[in-house]
Amino acid sequence: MNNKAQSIKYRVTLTALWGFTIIYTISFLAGKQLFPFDKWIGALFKPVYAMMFGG
Amino acid sequence: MIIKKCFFTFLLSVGLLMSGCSGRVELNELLIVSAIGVDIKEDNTAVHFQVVNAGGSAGGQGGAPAGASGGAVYTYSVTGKTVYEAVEKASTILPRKLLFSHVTCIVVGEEYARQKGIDGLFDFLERNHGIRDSMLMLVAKESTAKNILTIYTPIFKNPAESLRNRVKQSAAATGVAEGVQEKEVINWIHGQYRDPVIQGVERVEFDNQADDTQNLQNIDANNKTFRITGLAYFKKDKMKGWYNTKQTRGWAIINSRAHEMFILSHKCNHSKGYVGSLIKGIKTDVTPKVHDGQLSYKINVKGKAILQEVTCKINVGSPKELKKIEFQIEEELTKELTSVIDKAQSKKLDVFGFGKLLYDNHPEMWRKYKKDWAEHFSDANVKTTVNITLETVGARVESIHEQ
Amino acid sequence: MNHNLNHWQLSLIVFSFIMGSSLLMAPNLTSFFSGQDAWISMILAVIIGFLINILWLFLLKRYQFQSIFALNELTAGKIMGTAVNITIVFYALHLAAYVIRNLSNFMIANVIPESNPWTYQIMIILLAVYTTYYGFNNIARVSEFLNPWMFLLFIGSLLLTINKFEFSNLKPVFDQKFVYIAQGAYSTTGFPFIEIILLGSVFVYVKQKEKLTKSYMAGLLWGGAVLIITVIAVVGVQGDYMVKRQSYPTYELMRNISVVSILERIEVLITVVWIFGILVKVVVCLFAAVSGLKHISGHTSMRVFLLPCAILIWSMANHIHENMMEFTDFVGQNWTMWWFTLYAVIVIFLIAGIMRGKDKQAGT
Repeated sequence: MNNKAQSIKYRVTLTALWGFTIIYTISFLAGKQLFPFDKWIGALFKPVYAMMFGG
Repeated sequence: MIIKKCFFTFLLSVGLLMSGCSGRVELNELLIVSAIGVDIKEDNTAVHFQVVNAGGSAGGQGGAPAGASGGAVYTYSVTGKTVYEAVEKASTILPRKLLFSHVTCIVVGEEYARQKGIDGLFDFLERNHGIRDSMLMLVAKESTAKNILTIYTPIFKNPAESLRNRVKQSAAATGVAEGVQEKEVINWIHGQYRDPVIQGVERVEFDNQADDTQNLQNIDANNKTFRITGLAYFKKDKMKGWYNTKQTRGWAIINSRAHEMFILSHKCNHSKGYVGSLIKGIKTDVTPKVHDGQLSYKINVKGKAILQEVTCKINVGSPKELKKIEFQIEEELTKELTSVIDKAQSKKLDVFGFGKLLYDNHPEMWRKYKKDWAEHFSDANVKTTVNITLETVGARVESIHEQ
Repeated sequence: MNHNLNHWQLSLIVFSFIMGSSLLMAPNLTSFFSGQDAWISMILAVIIGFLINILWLFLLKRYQFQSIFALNELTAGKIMGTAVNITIVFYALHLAAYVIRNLSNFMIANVIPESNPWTYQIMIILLAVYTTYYGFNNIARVSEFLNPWMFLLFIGSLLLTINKFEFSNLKPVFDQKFVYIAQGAYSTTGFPFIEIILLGSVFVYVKQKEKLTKSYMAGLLWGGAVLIITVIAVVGVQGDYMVKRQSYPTYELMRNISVVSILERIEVLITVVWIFGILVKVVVCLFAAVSGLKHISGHTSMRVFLLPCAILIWSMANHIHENMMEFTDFVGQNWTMWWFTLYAVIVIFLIAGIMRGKDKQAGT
């Protein structure tokens, strides 16, 4: 029972990881920015940075 | 399992070894540039590359020309709107790819420095990954860079190397040890609000045959050598004029660039002749002072002298006479200092970095003066004190002129 | 898979991590804002980094240095804990991608412009994967062997530049406004002093736990001291105007080396030190990522996750920023805050856990 639950968790994790990797790599090779992490992070912290150092 | 492991190890080691070959350029695909020259040509930039001919430089030791394999160096000239355009254009006339890693100096024609200004050169030179910022800068005095770069020199097969050695050798005469480097010029103009100076170079005797290897057979060396002249002074990036030898030495002392220096003091009190000495361990200390809004600088020079030559009737053995000689050397040095200071102040060009000194010690004053620094600089009160001690008189005490 | 390491090895890993990739960047990051006072910024950054890490270690000590992934689940609950763990995995992969991009940027801009950046990226990732595959103990032993050489190369190169050092380049002291000094300190605090919390995944394998805090902090301070000395040397030799405009100032500093015309053109030696630091950093990131995934999945081995992680790191390294300036700009502005957020979240959970007495449950 315990083993089975673990193996499901394992499969989900591994599949999710591979899935994300493949999608990201394909988006990279195709030259399309599907996950602009830097833009998201930048948008999140820009106000704080501007508050601390005045832009 | 073992096969798999072996395969993986093989793959990894081959990968590690072979990846070193990525982006390689073999030696026989490269053309080593040893010096760059820049001239103005109808509002465009003419760039000269002096490149090393490996076969020509290797053959024949002791300065004999190489004969069959041609000259040790060749100079290619190209014209473009910018330096980079010239470099790109050069690829159509060059047999190999240019390698900039070993450029020893850049020679700028006087016309170019006066009319276009040297700022146009720096961006390419800095951005290129191969060129070192520590390369020497020289201005071709009353001449073009091409004139300087089309000459075969005796002793040194590579004229650029010869030129660099000349700069080192001339340190005792001009005072400017190690020459003026490109990165210093950039830092002076843009980092320290200072007007730069660059050493000049000229041909000792102009001779059209100097660009032929045959000329190396001729024993007369004066027609195939350079002379390091005084400093060219600039207003920001535009050249304005020349300092004479005295002023150049004065500049070197104020900037702590002179490590050792020759000096010839005239006037042996009451008889004809000269006293020559070598000054060592020159230490200069410049301190700015602001008193009641009046800016003043104190220049303190210390050094040790060694007697080299006496051609007049003085008693070298007496300590009192030595004091007199000391005094004369000091006077002579003070003349050199005041000469360059007067010239700089009259032209309103801060070639000594006095502005940076003020900033270092009194930043709040500097911010006040920064706007019209040229005016404040020329109004500043500069005091010089020179203190030379004559320690040894050389291998002889009494001079033959004493009797 | 042998992960064990002793406290001496931990010190060296921390040292390499701190000094490693910041060695070439720190002078520019600080001097860009605070000019000739860059070294004050750097000292400030080291002090802040020290405080941040001492709190971090103090909290982990209360939990008997359990793996941070287990602690997150313990303190934040199953669901929140897993969410935080996934975030840590992402942070680790993201950091590895940045470090690798930094390496290939450097090689392309300054060393061999003719070559392909992928060469360097793939080679260092392969090396990191190989190291992690056989356990964390590998990199510990390698660093034990290489660190003395690295230190020697670094100190040697630095000593050779001393003849060009000028105090006037550091004057006037404290002339910049405090805001700029703080701004310079800000960008070097996150990179590398907060990033190092990823090592929290390794503490569980350190043998003598009682000596852990001391050796960790020693490594951190040594690394910080090296960075401060580097900043002083770089600005002192070149002047802040030049440093501000250089992409890799320490490398440019070493290009200045010229002692009796034999010791010239040896700047690539400092790159060796730097690349080794980068390897340590990438291995720590990769290890944190795969052990996080191992914890999330409840699987027995972490090896299965290496391949996808490696590919993801590689594609992220290439894809996340289009050019170098975007990269530098992003790191300068957001990096510290981005990492501090993660740090703050974990620390808040840890403190809340202590209040609720969860630290007593840990390790039992």
